[in-house]
Amino acid sequence: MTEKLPNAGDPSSEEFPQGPEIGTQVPVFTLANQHGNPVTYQPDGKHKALFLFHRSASW
Amino acid sequence: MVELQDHLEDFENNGIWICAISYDPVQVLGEFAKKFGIAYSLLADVDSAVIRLFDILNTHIPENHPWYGVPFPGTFMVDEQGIVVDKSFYANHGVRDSVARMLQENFQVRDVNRDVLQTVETNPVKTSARLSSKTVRPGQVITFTIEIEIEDGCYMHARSLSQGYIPTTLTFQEVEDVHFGEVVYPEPGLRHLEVLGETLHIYAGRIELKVAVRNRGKQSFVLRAHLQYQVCDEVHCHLPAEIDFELQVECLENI
Repeated sequence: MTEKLPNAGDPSSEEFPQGPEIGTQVPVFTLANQHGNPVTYQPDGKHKALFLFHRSASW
Repeated sequence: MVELQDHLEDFENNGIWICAISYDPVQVLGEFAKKFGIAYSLLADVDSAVIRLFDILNTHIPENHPWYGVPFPGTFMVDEQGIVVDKSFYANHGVRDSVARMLQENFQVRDVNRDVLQTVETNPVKTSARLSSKTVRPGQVITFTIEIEIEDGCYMHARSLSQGYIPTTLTFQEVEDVHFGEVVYPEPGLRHLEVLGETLHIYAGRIELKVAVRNRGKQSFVLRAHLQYQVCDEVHCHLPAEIDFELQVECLENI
């Protein structure tokens, strides 16, 4: 893995949960998408993935 | 999120599945997707079950508040086996990486940024400056990169070196509401000069200097960088050189 650049403005001194650590497995899950259809994330050995967690699409 | 859509082709071409997760219901996500033309999955984690599964529930918000259930905002990047290879989290909702920066820095997708914004050739060195994105939204972080190509047989002095030489140094003019992170310099090589009995820390060939730039404000700005270096060859050292770069960064509104 390439070295990560220092995050400008990262409040590293403030403690807050940041989820699974680098090198650990993320959980498998199923949620409905914007069309109301279930979408399951499960590693398939072929695709990488990016999960963006955000506050809200309405505010 | 719109920026992820703008780069959807880059993700798909590089075998990366993307999704955005929030505590919004399906209807809200449907309206957002329709309004902004989002084709990738927006997932409704209405009871914050997955947010809790990932252990990123924002605990700063009291339980009786309407916003309770939101996550600390950020991104996980995982490999083909579902192993986290990198992540980007900020306590402040308003701070986040630009997508181009994530693609380049976390997934090592090399051809995201196809524009070199400024190039200077001063024999025996060619220097190019580029940004991971020429546009930025308030709170976003972009990457500024200086690529230096040093002619064979020549070298530059690195940061950690002996007295009397000009080290390669990148600095920035201050800009209101813009924060520059630490410059990341490459690992230097060693060059031993028998005649002088010195071992120098040097750069040779092609190197990159990188820095994270965070836009705190809402104004477009001009990024002004100053590069100083000294090039030497087997016989002598050139006079120290200085190059100024000036790149326009356009600030777009938050969506």
